[in-house]
Amino acid sequence: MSKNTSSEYVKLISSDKFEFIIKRDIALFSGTIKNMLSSPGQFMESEQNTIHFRDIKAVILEKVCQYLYYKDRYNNSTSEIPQFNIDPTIALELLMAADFLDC
Amino acid sequence: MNNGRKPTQQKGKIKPPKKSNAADSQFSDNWDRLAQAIREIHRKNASILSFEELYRNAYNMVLHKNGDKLYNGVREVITQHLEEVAKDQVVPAFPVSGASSSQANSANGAGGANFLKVLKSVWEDHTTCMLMIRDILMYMDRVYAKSANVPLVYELGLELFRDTIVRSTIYPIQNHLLDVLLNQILLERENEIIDRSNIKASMDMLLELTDTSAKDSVYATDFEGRFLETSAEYYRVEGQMLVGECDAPEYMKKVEKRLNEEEQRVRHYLSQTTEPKIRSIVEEELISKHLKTVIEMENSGLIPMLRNEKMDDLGRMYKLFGRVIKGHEEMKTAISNYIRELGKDINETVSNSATTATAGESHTTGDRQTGTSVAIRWVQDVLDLKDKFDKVQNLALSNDKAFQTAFNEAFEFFINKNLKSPEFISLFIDDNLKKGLKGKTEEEVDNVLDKTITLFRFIGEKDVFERYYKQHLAKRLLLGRSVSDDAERGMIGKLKIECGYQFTTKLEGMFNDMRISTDTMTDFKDYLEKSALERPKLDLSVTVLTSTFWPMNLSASPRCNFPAEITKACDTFQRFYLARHSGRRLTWQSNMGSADIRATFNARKHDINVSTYQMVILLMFNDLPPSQSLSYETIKGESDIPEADLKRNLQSLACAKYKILVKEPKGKEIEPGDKFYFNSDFTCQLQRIKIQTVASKVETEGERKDTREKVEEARKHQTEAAIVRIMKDRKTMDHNLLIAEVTKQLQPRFVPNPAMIKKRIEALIEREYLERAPGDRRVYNYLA
Repeated sequence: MSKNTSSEYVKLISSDKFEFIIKRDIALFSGTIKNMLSSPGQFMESEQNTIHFRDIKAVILEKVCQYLYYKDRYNNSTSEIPQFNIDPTIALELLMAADFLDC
Repeated sequence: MNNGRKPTQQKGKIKPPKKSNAADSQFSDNWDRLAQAIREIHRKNASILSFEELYRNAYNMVLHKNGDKLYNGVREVITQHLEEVAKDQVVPAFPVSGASSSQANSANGAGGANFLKVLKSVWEDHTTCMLMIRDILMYMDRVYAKSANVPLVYELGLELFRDTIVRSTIYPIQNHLLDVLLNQILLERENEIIDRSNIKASMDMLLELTDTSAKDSVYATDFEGRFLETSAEYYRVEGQMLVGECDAPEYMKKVEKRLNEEEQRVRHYLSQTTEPKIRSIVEEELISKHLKTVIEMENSGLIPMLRNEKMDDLGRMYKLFGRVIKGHEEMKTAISNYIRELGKDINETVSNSATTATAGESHTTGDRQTGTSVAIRWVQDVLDLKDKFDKVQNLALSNDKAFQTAFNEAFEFFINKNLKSPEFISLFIDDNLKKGLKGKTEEEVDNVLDKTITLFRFIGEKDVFERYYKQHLAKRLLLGRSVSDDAERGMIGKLKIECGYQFTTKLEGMFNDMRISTDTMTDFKDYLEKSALERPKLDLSVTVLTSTFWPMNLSASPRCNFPAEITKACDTFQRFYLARHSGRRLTWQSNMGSADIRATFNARKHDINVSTYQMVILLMFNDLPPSQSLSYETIKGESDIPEADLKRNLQSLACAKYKILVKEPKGKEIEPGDKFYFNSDFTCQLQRIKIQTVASKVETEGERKDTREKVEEARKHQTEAAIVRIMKDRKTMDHNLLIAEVTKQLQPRFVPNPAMIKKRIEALIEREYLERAPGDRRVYNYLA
């Protein structure tokens, strides 16, 4: 079952089984995700276009996805960039996830 | 996402991240899983793995400060794997060395190609795996490797590959690899087909692997050196073999082929950096070492190529030899020597024919003719030689300036070796202006004259040439021999451009004299018409020459007793002329004139054109009865003509083709006791006959010495004039500087001898134009 690897959407699954479906090229803003999906070897992920994050909670993952869209929207933009709001309660965990995901 | 803005204290606690157990057991678990995964990757089973899990494992390990353990562990696993690969795949593929050498080569050829193929597949597998491993260990690269100063994972992989396979200490892989590569190249040089893609893959592999100590690729450190060595050896042998077997053009073609081959080889599968190195090796071995041999090859070297005008081969040689430093030097020297040789030959043919001619000195008219033809042939030969080398220069040497200079020097050398060259060149021009240019278009005329001017430039002693040219020009003008006035003027124009105004003033003066004389004659005729008193019985035509312009010995006028009518006519003219121009003195030159006589023979009348002397002699027979003769002494006494001229003219009248006089006793020579009768029985087809007057000739030895002396005299005066001019300007000058200045000023005319200059300085000191400075003996002062 050779899936078409350049399908438009990818699925990100958090540790608590939430599924986030985002566009592929937006997901690629994260270095880690990019490697996973475009590695020369045929890892599971690239075949199924799905990534399980067993260490990242849904709240965090949701924020990450928001950030990725935010980046995509305002990258190289000249208009005024609004602030990206982060809830301080999740800040530390978000920091670690960010480090993990290289974004 | 690390936008770096820590939220200021807001309400709501910051939840610390979940702490994971940093237990060692977890580490070893993680590690096992990772190690296993790497092995699976090596077995090409990556699809069963989860990237995320491995990535997370690595991430955790680094997070818990086990980065170093992770790193070393990875290193071990990969090393292990590579060693296995080496043993299982690479070693069995070693090319087997066969028993006999020819078999070995082909066996090595095939076996070698196989080995390379195996190596290539091993390398490709490795690189792919390393990429994947790098991806999952990206976190470690990012965080750990940088801080711990170890090479990144991918680089680590390359190093391990280099150390365990290429430079393996256990198996002789490197030797085999290098041997196979060099062998393949050798086969290709011997015109066998090999698989270039394999070799390219190996080269690329070597280029990617770096040697840490040399900071250069393994290609450069391990392979390139040996490649250059073996190539040098190969081409050294090849060079010697080819030089022995082939002749020069073939040799050069082969060298060209080899150079192209090597260039192609580098482009196809070696690194660009090797290109200049291998090129210089081939050039060194095949060209530099055999420069002289190729040039001097019998029957096919440089000289035969020039002789047979093989322009292609010469052009190829020029290009090939241009690549090495000394190449062009050698060519230049060889060609220059060849030109000098040829020039010497030309000079020798001249002196040979001169000696055979001087053997028969008595037949003066005879050998003078051959003398002229020798001169003309000499000039023509030199012009041909110049043409030939100009062609070579144009077609083969692409007009290289350095070669042009060498040619010019060689030409100058042998032209000036021949002491008669100024005279010869002047004779050549003389001949052309008298008859040679008839029927040529203006362009061709210009062409011939231009070529002669190029020869003129090579002469060192231009003032000798000037003297001869004046003499010849004078004869041409006076005897009306010049074919075309325009051509004459053209020639003078060119000489003016070459040497400046001074050179040509006198020549132009001569032209002017001729023109003025025709005008004077018209006026004289009018005067005679009008005056009607003393109409002379003969038609007189006078050319008045300004003595300073013309080169003859004009003060010593040759004696001659004119008959009465002639003297009367001359006096009439003299009176007429002096009436117009007072303060001038006219001297009659009887050795230069000519006369038309109507002679009545028994058969019929003839018009004879003779020289003035001959006219005088013939008129003496007018009053004699036909049977009576005149003796030599009588003729001499009455006419008062100088002896040598008398003899010559009598010869032309009595012993040449048209015998107007009959000589007794018969014979070619004029002796004092001879008697001459008027030959009334003379017959001839033509109504008008011309008795040959002697035309311009090559000088006899005596005449040449005369000319030389005059030239020397003139030079002395010019040197003194130059010295005085310079000293007047500078007031005081050092001896060496003075000599240098004088030489520079006189250079366009002739090259002065420093000893001669010194003598002139001393003469001037004696005549008190200069003095030696009281303090320093080497310095001179000008005395006003």
